[in-house]
Amino acid sequence: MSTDREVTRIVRSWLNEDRHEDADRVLDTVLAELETTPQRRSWWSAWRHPVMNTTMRFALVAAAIVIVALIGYQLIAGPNVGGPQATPSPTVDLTPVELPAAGALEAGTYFVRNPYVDEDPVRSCESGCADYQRIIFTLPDGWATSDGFVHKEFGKAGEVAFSVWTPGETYLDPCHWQESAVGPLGHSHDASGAIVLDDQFALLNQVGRPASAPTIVTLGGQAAVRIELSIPAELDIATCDRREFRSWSEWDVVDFGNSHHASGQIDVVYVVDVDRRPLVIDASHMPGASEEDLAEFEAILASMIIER
Amino acid sequence: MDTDLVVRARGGDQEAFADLAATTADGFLATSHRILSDIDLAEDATQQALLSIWQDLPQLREPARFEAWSFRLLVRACYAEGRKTRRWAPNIRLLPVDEPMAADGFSSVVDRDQLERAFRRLSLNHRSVVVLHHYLDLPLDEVADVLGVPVGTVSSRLHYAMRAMRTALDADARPASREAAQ
Repeated sequence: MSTDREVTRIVRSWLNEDRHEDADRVLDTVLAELETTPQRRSWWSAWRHPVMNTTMRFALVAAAIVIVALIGYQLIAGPNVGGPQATPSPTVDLTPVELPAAGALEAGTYFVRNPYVDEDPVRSCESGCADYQRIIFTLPDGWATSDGFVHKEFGKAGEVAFSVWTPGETYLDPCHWQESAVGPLGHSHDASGAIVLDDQFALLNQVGRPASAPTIVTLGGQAAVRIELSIPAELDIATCDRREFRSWSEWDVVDFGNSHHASGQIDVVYVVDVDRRPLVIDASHMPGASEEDLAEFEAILASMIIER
Repeated sequence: MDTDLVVRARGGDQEAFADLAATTADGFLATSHRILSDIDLAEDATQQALLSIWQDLPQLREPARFEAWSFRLLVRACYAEGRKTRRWAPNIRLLPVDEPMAADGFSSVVDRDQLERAFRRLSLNHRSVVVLHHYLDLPLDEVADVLGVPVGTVSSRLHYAMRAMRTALDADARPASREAAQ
């Protein structure tokens, strides 16, 4: 009986045998077709503009905040008829600060770094990660952060929260994930590089988890696939492996994944189209979340900038 | 890899692309031939891959990543060709012949056919991993990068493929009776 080493040696030797392939004919055919084969120009090469400096970028963010604040004010406060003038919103400091590890957050602009881009070459993006530097977003008062989540009403019936992931593998059975088959989380692209929504998208096929039809949206200035997933209210998560309902593993981290799930939870998952591995932003809420908090949540997502 | 050629070809320079294609075409054909086990399919896949590279080169932001990016297009072309045509090798059982063992320890005629048969039984996904790792000598994380899958997936596919090859080789190594071609 062969040993593994012998098989490897045999296979390598066989693969490396000279099979006298000659690509000249193929090359000639390709070169002959070049004249009639146009290149597909990319939006980033066709749109040649100077890189926005920090001042310009935050001016745009400020404009977005003003617009969102005006819309939010109209939704929440309604028209001011006959009463005293509304108190103007406090000025928001637009200089982004790094999101702290935990604690209550004042209204302001924050950023999270790509955890794989650091001084350590083993964890750097050279070995593979989602291709982004930072995610910047603006929060109103009343939000907090802990355990990698930005949230309001954390752990309560009205919770809203978002988190950022570089997924490794998607569990096709998030409840019985320990023995679950895994599937690709990234979406396909056609020859032009455009996103293709196909049935290979593993999040569409998770056992016991209804999923909306995926749509292509823009988040933080990047194309993303948006999909809404729900966890049945009748599911007892205590019956799942290690009492966790785990959607996906975190890439390159041992035994860790997105397990922040509760029965009835709704996750709006954005699979952002960046190079290398997918960047995923999971925006979740419980059915008891208030309309005001959901509106704030939408404004936060609208304020996002994904820096490449 | 000459990134200057990549940059110029990305900008529409056909001469630069011709030079780039000339340096990659033989390697592409050899790789696709090993994945598809069929020279005609391999030529078609190589042709499609090179044309896709020309068309999509403007999408490549980082010229330094040309190699991994281009191999990804080649593997995709191999998958497309593999899906188009399913050809089955004739199920011929070769009779063992008395040939001197080659220096690397396997009989050239019989074992080569055994390897071919064993390899053809693998899916394209598994063959790609074996070829990228054992022929192109790419480390697993680069194989994962080319294929766009997690390293864990590459690892398990490679393990499965090599185990399947070993099982097939061991089965074929058992004494065979004289049989006509089926």
